[in-house]
Amino acid sequence: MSCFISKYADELTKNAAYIGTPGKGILAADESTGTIGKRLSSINVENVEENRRALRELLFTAPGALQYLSGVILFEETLYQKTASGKLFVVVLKEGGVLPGIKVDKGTVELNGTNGETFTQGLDGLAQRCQKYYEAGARFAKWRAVLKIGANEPSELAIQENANGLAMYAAICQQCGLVPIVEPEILVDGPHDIKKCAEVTERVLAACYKALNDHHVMLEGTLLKPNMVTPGSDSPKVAPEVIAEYTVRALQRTVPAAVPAIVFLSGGQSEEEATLNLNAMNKLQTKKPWSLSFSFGRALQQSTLKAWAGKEENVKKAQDALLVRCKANSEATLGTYKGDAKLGEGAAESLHVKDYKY
Amino acid sequence: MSAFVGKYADELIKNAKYIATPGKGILAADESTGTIGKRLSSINVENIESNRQALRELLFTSPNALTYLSGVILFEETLYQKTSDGKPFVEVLEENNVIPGIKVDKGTVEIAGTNGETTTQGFDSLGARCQQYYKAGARFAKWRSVLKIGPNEPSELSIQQNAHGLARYSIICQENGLVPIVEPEVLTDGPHDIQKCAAVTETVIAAVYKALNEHHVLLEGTLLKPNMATPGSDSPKVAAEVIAQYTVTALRRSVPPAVPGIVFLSGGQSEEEATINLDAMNKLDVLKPWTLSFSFGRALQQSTLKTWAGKKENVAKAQEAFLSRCKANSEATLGKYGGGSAGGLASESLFVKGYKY
Repeated sequence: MSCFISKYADELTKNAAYIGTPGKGILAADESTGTIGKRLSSINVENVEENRRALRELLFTAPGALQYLSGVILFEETLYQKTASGKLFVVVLKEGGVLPGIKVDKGTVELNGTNGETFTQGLDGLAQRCQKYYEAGARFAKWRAVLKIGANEPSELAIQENANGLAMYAAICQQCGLVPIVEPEILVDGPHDIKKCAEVTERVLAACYKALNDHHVMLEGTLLKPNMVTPGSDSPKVAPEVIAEYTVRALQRTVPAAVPAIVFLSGGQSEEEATLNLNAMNKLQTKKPWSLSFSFGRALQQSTLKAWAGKEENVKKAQDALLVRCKANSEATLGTYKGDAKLGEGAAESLHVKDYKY
Repeated sequence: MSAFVGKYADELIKNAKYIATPGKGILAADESTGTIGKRLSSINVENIESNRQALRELLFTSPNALTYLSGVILFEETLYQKTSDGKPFVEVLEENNVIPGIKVDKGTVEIAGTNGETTTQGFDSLGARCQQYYKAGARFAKWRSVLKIGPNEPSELSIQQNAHGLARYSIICQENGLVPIVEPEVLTDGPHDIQKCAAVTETVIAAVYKALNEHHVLLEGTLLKPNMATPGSDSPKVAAEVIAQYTVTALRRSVPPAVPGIVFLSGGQSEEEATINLDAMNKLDVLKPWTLSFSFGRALQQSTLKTWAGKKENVAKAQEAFLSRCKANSEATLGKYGGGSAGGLASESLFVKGYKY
């Protein structure tokens, strides 16, 4: 094959396919310490390890929620944390039929000479880190590349650098037994229309898959985490059916059938928006050789966070809120969501933050 | 979109989809005058226009054969030829729901500094020629790029040259209403194994679709004509199921779902081999977002040619041989071929070393 078949090939293929199980998706709970700090401060909770642990315990032990998840992405600290009763989070997840994943990138840095474009760090010692994470129970990884739309953006340089970075990361992960989630996020910021977003998304994804091919990555053991194709944040909104049409068409033009699943990021979309859009895509009658699911962070946790507000007595309420969103998104992966989920506080609230830094 | 959506977009999409109809495929009857000369001389027939006309009339008027075809690729001379009753071939095809296509490349030339690698000519006035062909009734085109496997081949230069050539040809076709068939043929010549062929095929096709994206080609209005993934000509043969597995895996890794159909070339395979391999692919229980069909030249015409031998009294028998191959390949596109249409002629290998079109 033109791809490298690592000793983990069968396992990678199996795990990638499992993550793409219809009816399931990914909870992105991999906020770095800095980022989770912003979330906690929004509900007046102190950013200390115990609170970070408590939040994640709330999520991972929410009754009935894990059945709707095939994977959870963790930050490194969380990979080694335990429940209050002393059980490792990765064990809780595995017992619930959920694969633990791990964020392995080290954030973005600016590309010199560009207008604020970035590339992603994290390749140094990546293989050793991946091996450690595998030993700790991780079975997939995530690496976020970021591009933006502007008058002259994304530049060819930004596209190539980020595609190449994703491909190198993906190849290393596979050698170490981790399914790489390939995430080339095109930010929603800007006044551009949906056609422009579609054009850029197609160009970026085409570059990504060429790079993955160049780097001998085995596509059957990968996942894609793209943005949905939407109008820019400063542009009028459109119906979910329009978003679905443009998004799926862009993917049909660029993502080979060997990729088992596409797990969308939510960007700045509200919880309900993200679910409705995913649902519309799964209702679309057209060729979709990969399953279409979710890898949501904010769009799964927003109302849960607000309901919790850091208080022990709110844990059950918060867990109910999480269950509502998990179930709704599970239905969305099957195209059966009726839009009738009990909306928690903030479920319809846009989560867009201009020029969002992870 | 990143794709160019011109005035012919809807028509291109409709025609590409029709050519990819399950149960149908393409007859590649676009042999240049020189090449058809070789075929005719193999049956001791003189290479003159009336004989070339007679052969194509035999094919296009074969009773019931056209049901199994969605397209026929023609050489320029043939586009303007008629039956002996004076009916233009293009009309004969159209009346039978077969879309006429046209070969638009002008053959290969060597790339200096490489070990016999080539690039394809034909860009001069290509747009104007396409317009002419559209007026004459053509609705799809074909352009053959050639790559070879060797210790240092295909080189990055050859892959890029041929990929961008195919992309440029494609967009010019689409601007002028013709569905481009994208043909990046990796030759079978060599002692390499099937894994090597599959790896090269994946790399080449990935480069082709990157180039098509860069040139804003509308994938829904194109077709792909690749080689099957097979062992090299100097290597032991393998079972059809193995060929099917490697071929379909390679395509699943490199051909976007937006492409409606993949129409294989037969290379040097015998008529029967080509059919059995195509059938095995369609029997494979794996998700295939494009139809898998045929665009065969030699593998559809070989026994027909031999049976005809240039003699009027053999025409009916020759047409039966042709119908038999068309029907067999139609069944193969549905994974329903039961074998048994192989006469001795159908099993004859059609491999010619270093084959020049």
